[in-house]
Amino acid sequence: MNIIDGLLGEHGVLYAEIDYLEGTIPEEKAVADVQASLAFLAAGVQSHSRLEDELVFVSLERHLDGEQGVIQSMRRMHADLDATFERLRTATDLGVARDLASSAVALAREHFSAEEELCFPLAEDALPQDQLLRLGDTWAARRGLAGA
Amino acid sequence: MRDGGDVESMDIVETLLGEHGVLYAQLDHLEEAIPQLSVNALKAEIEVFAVALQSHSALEDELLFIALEPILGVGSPELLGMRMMHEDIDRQIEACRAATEVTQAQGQLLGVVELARQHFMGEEQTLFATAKKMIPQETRDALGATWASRRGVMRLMLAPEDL
Repeated sequence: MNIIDGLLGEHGVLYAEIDYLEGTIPEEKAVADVQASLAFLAAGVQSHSRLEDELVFVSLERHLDGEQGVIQSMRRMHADLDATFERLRTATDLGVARDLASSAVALAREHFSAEEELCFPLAEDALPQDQLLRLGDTWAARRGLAGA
Repeated sequence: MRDGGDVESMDIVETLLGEHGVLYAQLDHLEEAIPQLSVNALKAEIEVFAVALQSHSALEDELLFIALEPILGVGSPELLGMRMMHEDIDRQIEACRAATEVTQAQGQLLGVVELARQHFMGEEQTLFATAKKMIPQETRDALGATWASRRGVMRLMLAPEDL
């Protein structure tokens, strides 16, 4: 399967988690609860980012000539997400934890939209179809899908 | 998205496989984290997990399984089995919510994780393969468009030169 379809599928379920967290973060009563809620999202978002980095972005960088700005911007957003999740893991104040959690979910949503608008269409345009399919096979194997 | 650069179409089976992909990583995270979590932290994690898992099950039920009913039959063992597993997952999530002791909550949550993993593998090996073979591509794409709309994923992806 095309790797972009797999990654869009990942966005789909992560959006549902983001919707839920946007509603509940302001109501959380303890730092540990904010951290636990976000730990589940972080496991999904950060593994998703790594696969994009290692499979799509590396492939795109080899094919693009003078259009590296989009990829650099996407990598910077991944780094911002990592840094926000890390700061949340070490937060000790409830207000700070809520603010960091809200920033993480907002940044994840913004990043997914940017990928859907810019990065994924760029990959569809720049990478040959057989490469997108091979990357999809690698994605499926890395995710542990049955039959991959 | 398939051969021919049709960037507007998304096959429902592939998008649901995509959802499994990231959920597997989150199941791995839970298995590792559960032994260290307090009851409150477990309950905070289970709520996010429940939103992801139950919204995924609802989309499968309402989109893919209904499309398979005319092909396999409403009472087919494959569909009944998968729907029963969705109900089992719902019941185990409820049991986890009701747990008051840490070991009880940890055990219940590990049970949900194991059941979800088995369920995903079962779907990938049987029902998704059947859907790919038996549901016409056009129908799978239409269902993929509905999935994208329900999930809020951008369906119409603009070509870079149009941006």
